[in-house]
Amino acid sequence: MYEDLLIKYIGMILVIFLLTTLYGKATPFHTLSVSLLTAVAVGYLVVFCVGAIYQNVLLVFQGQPLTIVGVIIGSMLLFRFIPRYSVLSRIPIAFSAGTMLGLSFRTVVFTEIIGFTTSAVKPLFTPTGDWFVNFNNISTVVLTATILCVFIYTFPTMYKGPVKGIGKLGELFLYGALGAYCTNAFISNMNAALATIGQYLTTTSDMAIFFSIAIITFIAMIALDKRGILEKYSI
Amino acid sequence: MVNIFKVMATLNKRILYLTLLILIIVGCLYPIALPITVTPWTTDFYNKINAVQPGEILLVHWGEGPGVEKTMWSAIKLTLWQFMQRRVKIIWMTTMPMAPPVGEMLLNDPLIKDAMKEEHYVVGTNFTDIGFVYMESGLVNFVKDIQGFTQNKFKDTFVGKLKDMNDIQYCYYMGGDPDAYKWLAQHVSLRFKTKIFTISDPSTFPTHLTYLKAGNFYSCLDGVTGSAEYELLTGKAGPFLGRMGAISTTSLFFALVIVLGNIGYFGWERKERVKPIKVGEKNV
Repeated sequence: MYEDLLIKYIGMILVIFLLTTLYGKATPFHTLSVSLLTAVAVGYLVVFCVGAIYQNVLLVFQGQPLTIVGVIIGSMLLFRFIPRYSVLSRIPIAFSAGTMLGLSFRTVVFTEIIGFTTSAVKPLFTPTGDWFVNFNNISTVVLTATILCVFIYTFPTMYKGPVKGIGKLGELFLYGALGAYCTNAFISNMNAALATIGQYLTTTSDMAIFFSIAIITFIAMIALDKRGILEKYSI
Repeated sequence: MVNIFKVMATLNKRILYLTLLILIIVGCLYPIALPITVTPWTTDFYNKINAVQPGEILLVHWGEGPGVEKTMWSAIKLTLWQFMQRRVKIIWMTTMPMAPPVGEMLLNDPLIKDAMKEEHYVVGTNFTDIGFVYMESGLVNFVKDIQGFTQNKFKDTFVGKLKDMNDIQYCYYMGGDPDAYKWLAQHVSLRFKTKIFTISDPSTFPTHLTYLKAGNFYSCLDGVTGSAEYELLTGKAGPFLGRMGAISTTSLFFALVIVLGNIGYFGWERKERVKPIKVGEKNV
């Protein structure tokens, strides 16, 4: 019960502190909340990793001696802290990058190259089909062809010769696609903001506490700014 | 004379974010009941879960971090509840360091706990948690040799009878890892033809749709709008249904600002022949 309340109020304070970024200047409140979130995440990860290492070491004594190879290779990353032997830390990085690449390379061709290319080849227009599907098919083909043109002819030759118009169109589509992608990501995060703030605005008492903390933080921020020490304490 | 295009292009971002914040707060205080249309993807997802046969096996690939509780909890909860209504056998696999406490929270949710009780879910008989499976290498080892990977720890459960991924009919990807769904497409869907359901936030959803079109995924759900739509479809109203009005309003506002900003830049550039900003050059 008390734990829930504590979590709620700490969360409330953190949300308001994070929102101080809207002030346009670095604030100690924002720095504190960001640092706290990072520290908690890193702390949790360290505890988790230590647990995982312990489990792996146990496996060595449970009849799986080869696990020790993984533990040793992984531990070699710590050589980064010793400048003289830091070159040794490249071995586990190379090992894991090579393994991952080897694992995915044989399948990525089918899933992300052949699969995507096949799905981009569509009948342009089906008279009896759904108009939405027809629109999707046409736009898939047009966008694929024009954007491909941008990358094939690259930038110096993109606006010359017969591909001039197509290249320009492809570039516009590319901007549109990237814009839509960013908007989508923003809306997704905005929903998280909405949900986080929304949970503190469900009861009158919570609302009162939320707005009180917000007003106090705002006044403190203005006071610190007037004294010229706002940014001084924001790392 | 005031150049309206310049005003549109150079509007102070702090004003925009403040307006957004006010819209969010007002939207939370006074929810707007806008009509909701269930998208074809959500309908497809719902129908395909309903077509799952009792006794079939579902591998839950759980990798959601703490933020998911705020963004798409209803969709996660209700889809899992729907699978439980179909009485599938569940293998629970955790794939992200941040995921275990959130997974525990999900399994302790009253709706899921009740469903487990009502549908007679017993740990070991039709629900087995195989623990943490790390990264791509872990998944690859699991799918090709389940007994070898689990070291026969689950030989007394239904998992003990499974040889490889061919024995598992469905996989449900619930994860925030930016690469994990690719691994599932590569190592599960391509090699074993297991049908993969995925749930994601709106930022990853378009990528999931690409995999869906390519035939790598079986069905995909946008967790944010999907939450409200699932509350509507299952008749279990929750916070997301009431929040959709605020989400739509703020999304529309933001989309409008982007459009106006682009028109502003376009018009300003044309009218005053402003040179495009180069790399390293200070913005106006």
